[in-house]
Amino acid sequence: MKGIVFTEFLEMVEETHSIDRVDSIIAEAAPPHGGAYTAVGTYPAQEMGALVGALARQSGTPAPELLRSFGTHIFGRFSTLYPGFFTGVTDTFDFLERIESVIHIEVLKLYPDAELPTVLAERTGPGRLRVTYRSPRCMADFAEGLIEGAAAHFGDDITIARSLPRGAAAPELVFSLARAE
Amino acid sequence: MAEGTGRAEEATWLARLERERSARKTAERLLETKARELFLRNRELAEAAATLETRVAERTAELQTALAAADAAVKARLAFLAMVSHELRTPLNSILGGLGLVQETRLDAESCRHLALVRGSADALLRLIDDILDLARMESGAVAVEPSVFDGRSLLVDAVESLRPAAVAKGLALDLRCEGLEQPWLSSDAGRIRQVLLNLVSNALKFTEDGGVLVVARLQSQPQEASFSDDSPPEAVPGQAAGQVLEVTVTDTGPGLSEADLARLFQPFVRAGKAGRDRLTGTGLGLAISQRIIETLGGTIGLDSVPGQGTTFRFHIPVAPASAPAPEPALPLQAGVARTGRLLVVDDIATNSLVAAAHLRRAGHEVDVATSGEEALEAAGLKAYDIIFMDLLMPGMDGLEATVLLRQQPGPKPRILGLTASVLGEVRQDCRRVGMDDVLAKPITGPMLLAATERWLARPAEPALIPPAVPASVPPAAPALVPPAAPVTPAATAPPPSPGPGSPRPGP
Ligand code: HEM
Repeated sequence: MKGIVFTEFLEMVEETHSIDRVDSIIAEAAPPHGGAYTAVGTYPAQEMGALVGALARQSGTPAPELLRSFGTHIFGRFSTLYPGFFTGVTDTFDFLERIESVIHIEVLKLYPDAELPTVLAERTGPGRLRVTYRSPRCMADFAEGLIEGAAAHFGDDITIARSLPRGAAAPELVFSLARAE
Repeated sequence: MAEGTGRAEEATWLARLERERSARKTAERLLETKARELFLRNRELAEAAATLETRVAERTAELQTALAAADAAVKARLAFLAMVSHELRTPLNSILGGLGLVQETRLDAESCRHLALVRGSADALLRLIDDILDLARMESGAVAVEPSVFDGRSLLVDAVESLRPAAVAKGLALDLRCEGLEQPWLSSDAGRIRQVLLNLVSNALKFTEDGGVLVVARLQSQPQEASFSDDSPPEAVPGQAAGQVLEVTVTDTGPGLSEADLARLFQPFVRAGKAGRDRLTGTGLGLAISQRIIETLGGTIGLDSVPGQGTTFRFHIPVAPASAPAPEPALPLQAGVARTGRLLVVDDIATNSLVAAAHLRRAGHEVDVATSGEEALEAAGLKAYDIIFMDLLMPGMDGLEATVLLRQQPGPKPRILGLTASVLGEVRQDCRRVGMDDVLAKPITGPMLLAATERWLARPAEPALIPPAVPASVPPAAPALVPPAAPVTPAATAPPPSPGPGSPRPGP
């Protein structure tokens, strides 16, 4: 997993909790490099699980909840870091349709060793979009957070229904999105 | 305690600082590794590009060499063929000349018949040699169109009439219809068109036993719808704004051709119907050559045939209409009164010069013989000749060189007529360039020599060296040159002697 996910996560923890919390979850997760993450490095995905698990234990917030809010947070960061991906796109559905065909492809140009999920978007009716998420890393909660982040970014009022209960780890699941009129 | 807290806090911050520094160093190492990877990759790419360039250059050079080799091979083959053709023509020329002389002596009927057979075979052999060289030149693309202004109607009439004896001998009708040729002056390669006409008409006569052959020529401003689908007339040639199309059909009432024959007909040496050996003689190279000629002239050729009913060959060629050339000044020819002159025949092959001299002496001319360029110069220094017949290819000083030197000599200018077995247009140009008045194509026949002598004696010698108003492509003794009062027998001109019914000639 790319270092940017770790550095963004730790920065979020520092912002929403404290720098001490950053120290303590690193201490608990005990990664071999002492938590010296750099955005351009690559680390095992399990380290992410360990960090999120430590934060859940220490803060009392469930891990799925943490991952989801991290998704929302990082989407905001992406909009600052990569404004190019947003030009000409004005709405959540359009943006989600571009993840697989444009955005994650651009990501691979920056990070050739990135491990990206498959995110397929399909219009199922007026104001409706079905997003199929597929990844061996089973980070559906993170994906949901990202979708929520997108909706917030574009100012769309969207309800998300999952075909598997929140927190259930599965390599593939479906988000049914409905835009409120 | 406050101090302890302070130190502990400092230690925490130091640990964080250390974490950040370590992260930075990791990032820096990563970037260095990446930079190095990029550098290596770049170098690889540059090397690949360079190798690619050298490989492309090498391959290009290889291809150029191969092309040059192929080109050289074609040229060598052509040169070889030209050489062989020359080597074959030279003895054949002597044979034909000797035969001509013998034929003019008193012979009993049987010898006459035998001689005619020998003559026919020798003619056929000569024609075949010409055809092989002609085809080879055309296939190697060495044939250039030599456009000239000519009278299309006369060309058609002459070609058809030259084959009338063959038609008469077989009891066949032979008709020519011209449409749209009221203003007959055209510009194209007259010699080549004549060649095709002779090929097609003599073929048609050969394959027809009953009925006859009809030749129809039409000059059209707009290409007409062709009557068969795969052979539409050519579009007007670009650059020939007022282009016209000459369409010629040659229709016979012969046996016709099967589908299978049709497909192979234009290939060299293919003969119609294996079983028809007794009835049909081969078409030899004639059709293959005709097709190449028509294509070279930018036209199309095709045919319709119904087995049992006959065959129609049809060709279209783009021609440019032309205005009549300035009429030739009337020659001060004393009709009927044969003039005699002082002539010199130069040829290294004694048989040739003896045969030629015999023909000329019989007509009352005063004839000397030289066997080399040097001898010719010497002879010309001693006597003022009216005409010098000059063989081109001789050991030592050749005909061209001798002509150059002769032209430098002061005094009256003799007519110099080249004799060559070469059929190449360049050779003709060389002859004119060095100052020859005309070129006669071997084999030189008696009538041909006499006609040329008569013609050139009739012309005032000075000023001599305006090139005759004859297109280079037209054989020297072509009808256009011949004063109306003195028609040359067709046999002396380019058309092949008409084949007799039993003639074993392999066709035009
Ligand atoms: C500008 C927008 C986005 C950018 C720049 C971006 C970039 C990235 C990057 C760099 C990763 C890390 C890959 C790795 O660790 O090897 C990632 C992972 C991921 N992305 Fe995106 N992404 C964007 C939007 C989204 C959105 C809208 C979704 C919503 C479905 C999404 C779903 C995911 C998921 C679920 C992962 C985690 C890896 C996995 O599940 O296999 N991304 N993305």
